[in-house]
Amino acid sequence: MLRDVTLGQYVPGRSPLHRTDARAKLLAGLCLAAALFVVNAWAGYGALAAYVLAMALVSGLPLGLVVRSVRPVLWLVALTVVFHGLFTPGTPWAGWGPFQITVEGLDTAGRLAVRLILLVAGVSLVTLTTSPVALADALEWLLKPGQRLGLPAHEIAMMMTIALRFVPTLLEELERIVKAQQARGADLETGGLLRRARALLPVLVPLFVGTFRRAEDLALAMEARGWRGGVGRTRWRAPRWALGDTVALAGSLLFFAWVGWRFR
Amino acid sequence: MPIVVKDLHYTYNAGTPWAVPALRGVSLTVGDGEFVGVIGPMGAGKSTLAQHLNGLLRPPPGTVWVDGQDVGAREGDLLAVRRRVGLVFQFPERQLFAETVAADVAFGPRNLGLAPDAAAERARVALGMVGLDYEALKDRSPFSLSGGQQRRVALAGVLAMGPRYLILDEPTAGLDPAGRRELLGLLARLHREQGLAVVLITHHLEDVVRLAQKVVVLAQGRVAMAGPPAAVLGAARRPQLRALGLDVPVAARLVDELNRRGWQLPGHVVREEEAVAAIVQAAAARRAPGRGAAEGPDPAAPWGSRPAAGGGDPGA
Repeated sequence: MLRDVTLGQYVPGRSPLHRTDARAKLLAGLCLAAALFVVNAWAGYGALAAYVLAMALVSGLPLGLVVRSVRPVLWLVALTVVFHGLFTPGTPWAGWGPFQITVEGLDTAGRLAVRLILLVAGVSLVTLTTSPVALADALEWLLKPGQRLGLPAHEIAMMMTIALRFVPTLLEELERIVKAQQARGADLETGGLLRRARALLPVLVPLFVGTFRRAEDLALAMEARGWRGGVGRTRWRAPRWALGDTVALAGSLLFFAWVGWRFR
Repeated sequence: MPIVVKDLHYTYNAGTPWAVPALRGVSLTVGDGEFVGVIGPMGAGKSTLAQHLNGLLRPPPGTVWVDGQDVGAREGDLLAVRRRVGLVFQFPERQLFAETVAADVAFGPRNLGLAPDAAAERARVALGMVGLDYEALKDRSPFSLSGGQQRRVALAGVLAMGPRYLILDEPTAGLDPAGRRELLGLLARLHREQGLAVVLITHHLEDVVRLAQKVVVLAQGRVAMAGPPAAVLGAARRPQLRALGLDVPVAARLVDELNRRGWQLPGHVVREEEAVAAIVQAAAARRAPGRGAAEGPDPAAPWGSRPAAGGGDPGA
């Protein structure tokens, strides 16, 4: 269950997508998101889905992995579908008493679902093929223009790196605690919502205690190694922008622009 | 009735790029009231094995049996297994959560469906078993206790379930020598007085050799050796243990070193008190006239010159 969360996980590889500069991937990802929310025709979603699928194939990752990365948001998708299906006025499609599912509702719900799924799949492709460090560097680069306005670009990027770095660690810790409480007979999987929320207490308290302990240790370790923020910090591995990155990014952006303009 | 494990396999993240085989056909038996030491280097599959014994990781049907119940059976009652098989994770004090010690220890019994006062009684008894004073501690926050006390409270939380088997994953990790000795003494007492079967999982042979009736060595997901400590840790096997990255107990090392210098001590000696007895006996024989003990400066002379009175002292 917990291992389904692939967000923030990085699978090393040597595919063209892996080797593309993180900044190009980040920009393409952002533009994909923008395109998804501009496009309003099913054919447009089809084109963007084809783009995501093509990238997944280029990445050389098992397709099941990319599909799995979408799984955590499926409940959100389901919720959206239910709400829109039920509460959009229009031509009734099916219904029980006061509850009416409308054709328009299903249509809206379908569009939202496709948007969400493609968005998460696209973002996952970026994180799956980019090392967290490279990703944070790219983010810092992206935020750099904001630095003049007092935006702490380096600190934000550092926080991102640390957060991503600790996702698997905390999941592991969570799994251990869940197991330890299950070993004491805790039942976390059945019962009503309230019961289940109460049953989480024996899991959440140790998790928070552990997280604070880790945070303190990490702060100490960073200070011990002389971390004083971003000013004057040099890089061990400076990212290098290649011609291929320009081509890939320009190609993607042109494609998004065309799809966005054509299927508005 | 025992715990029986038959040809158990397990792979983490099966079917993904992170697939890691952890168990590759492990078979073992933990008898009723038996004290078993499971040892092996890091990554040998010890913790994975432990989690199969009470169904936290679901074994395939027919591979793990607890008192005749198939843990992997589809319709199996896991709560019944978890009541019988108590599992103490590494650093168990990190699972403490309740506002009071009493509530935390009573968490398990409450999950078993016991009434509050019956669960509190279980908590009182369990805290007594780990040598803590219920009246003094019951209303304190578990987070206000010392590390060693927290670990005992966590252990009591498992004991309060009333298990017949107690499985401990590196229970002495992070304890100072005194805390370690106390905890091992506690386990020995639980085994002796409560008749609990204990499975002690560790990479310290030293912890196991004194207490265990049976030692199982895991390496790379397989049982590398199994048997009574004297056999598994016997002189012939020690190079293999060292190759696995395990530290041979001090007494066995001493015997090896003396034998290297010309003594002839039996290779099955692995416990301190046995070693002392064997050395005293051999020294007496060496000092006796007619034996070839006088070649040059005897490196073992300080041992040989000691009075035999030390023979009965376990040295612990």
